[in-house]
Amino acid sequence: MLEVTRVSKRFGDLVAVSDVSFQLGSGVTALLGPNGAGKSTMLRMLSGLAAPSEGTVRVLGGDPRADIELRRRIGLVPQQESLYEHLRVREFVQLAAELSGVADAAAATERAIGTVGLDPADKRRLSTYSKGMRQRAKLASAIVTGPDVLFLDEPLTGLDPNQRNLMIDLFHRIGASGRCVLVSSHVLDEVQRLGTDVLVMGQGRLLAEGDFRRIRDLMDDRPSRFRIATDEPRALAAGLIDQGLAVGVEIHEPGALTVATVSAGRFAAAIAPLARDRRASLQELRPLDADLESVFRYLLEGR
Amino acid sequence: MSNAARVFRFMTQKLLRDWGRVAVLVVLAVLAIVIAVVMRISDGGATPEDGAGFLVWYGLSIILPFGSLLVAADAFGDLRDERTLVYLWLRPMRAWSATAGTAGAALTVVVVLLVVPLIIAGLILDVPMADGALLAAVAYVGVFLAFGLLLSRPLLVGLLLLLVWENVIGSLSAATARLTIRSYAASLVVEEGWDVGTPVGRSFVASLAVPLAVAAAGLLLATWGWRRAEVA
Repeated sequence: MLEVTRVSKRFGDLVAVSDVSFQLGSGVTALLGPNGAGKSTMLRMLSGLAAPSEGTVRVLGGDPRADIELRRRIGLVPQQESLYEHLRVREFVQLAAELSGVADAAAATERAIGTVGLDPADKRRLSTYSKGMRQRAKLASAIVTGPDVLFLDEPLTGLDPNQRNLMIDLFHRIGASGRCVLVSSHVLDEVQRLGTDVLVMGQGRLLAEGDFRRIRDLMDDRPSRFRIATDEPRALAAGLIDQGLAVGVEIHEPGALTVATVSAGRFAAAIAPLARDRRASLQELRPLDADLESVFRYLLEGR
Repeated sequence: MSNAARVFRFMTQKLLRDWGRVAVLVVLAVLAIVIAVVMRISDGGATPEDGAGFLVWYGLSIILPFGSLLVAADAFGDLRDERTLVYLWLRPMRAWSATAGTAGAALTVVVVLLVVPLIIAGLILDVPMADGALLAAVAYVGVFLAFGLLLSRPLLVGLLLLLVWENVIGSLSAATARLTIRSYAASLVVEEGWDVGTPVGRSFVASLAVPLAVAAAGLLLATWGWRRAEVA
């Protein structure tokens, strides 16, 4: 559904996005990166708001910048908080529906506003809305057209935990209906709850893409760390070193050790037989750095 | 309803919601009427030539161009500054729908707040202001609408254009006056032989055609700018 080929974007001397390529199909994908990584610029190019300096962007087979009709099938929740402050939420969302030629714009507006948990009959102007309500108004405006592709730039900012859960559920429902949802965030906890498919950007470059657990597995130049709880930590540590399964072992609490290994697969296969040989009972075996934060930290900072 | 009409309705509401700007324009316009009344009832009453001199200076050289600048440049300029242009730009509508609808909204606001009061002031002073004021408004709105989309500081550039081009260069000679919108608008207001402090004397056809051509060029530029815009 999305095809980005060798895309770069420069603003004068500043390179915001550099030689990025990826393809995405349906489902929810998180676009992860720190502030200034180029995420928003990438989303602007994907939605046609900005032209790439180099490379091509194809959305649903078309050029989102040149093909006006394609905009009907693309929804964007931009990062900025600002809205048309003088409008009410119904007017704001209905304007988007009407300008997009949505049949029965009034009914579609009501549905979209209800979906994000706002009140379509709310008489207050958007200028009185809180940050979380603004996020939801923007989302309603983006989904009122029933887009096939939905781009969301930091959409969970300002939402309370309950609202976040509702929104994340909504993104998953949209993704599960065969649509492409790309959600940018710099908050790892958020991204982890959005799913496992990630695009990681840093300093304008695409650092990794795919399932973050697979990305972690591919980082074979960096030892994986495991915590093992056992009644014989010293014996187990010695066995791991003897068999060449660990490049580092630390025992910093009674009954537990931390192991660093460069061959996680071999380690996982060998640990149970080794424990049996050394008469050690295995009470816990837990990966310490298979989470997204570790992947992210490694990709961005190399540690 | 067409998309141009929807944009017109939305932009008209938005422009009229800026109470501060509306208040300034209303005060300036009411001042024109008040001064016209004072001139009319003053000792002996002002002649139509005196009245035309005042209305060309105050109306066509000051409040109409500067008021049009405030309204038209900010129509798109405000959306760019507030970063809300995105909500219009993302919609599947032709560029001309956005620019024509916005131009119509800006022109409506300028006509209601400035042109109509100038026509009333003209009626008080026996000066036919309608054609000149309306055409000047059309031309200025066209130009400044394009400024709002194409320039990063449309108000500043517009201000410089009005001060340097329309007022200084336009006053240097009859030849340079031909390059100003004001001289064409004033030519429709001033009768032959009147001295109003502004070079006039453009033909009727030129006085109609040039402001309309300027407005059309501005609208075309704005439409081109809409298509090319990099929206934040």
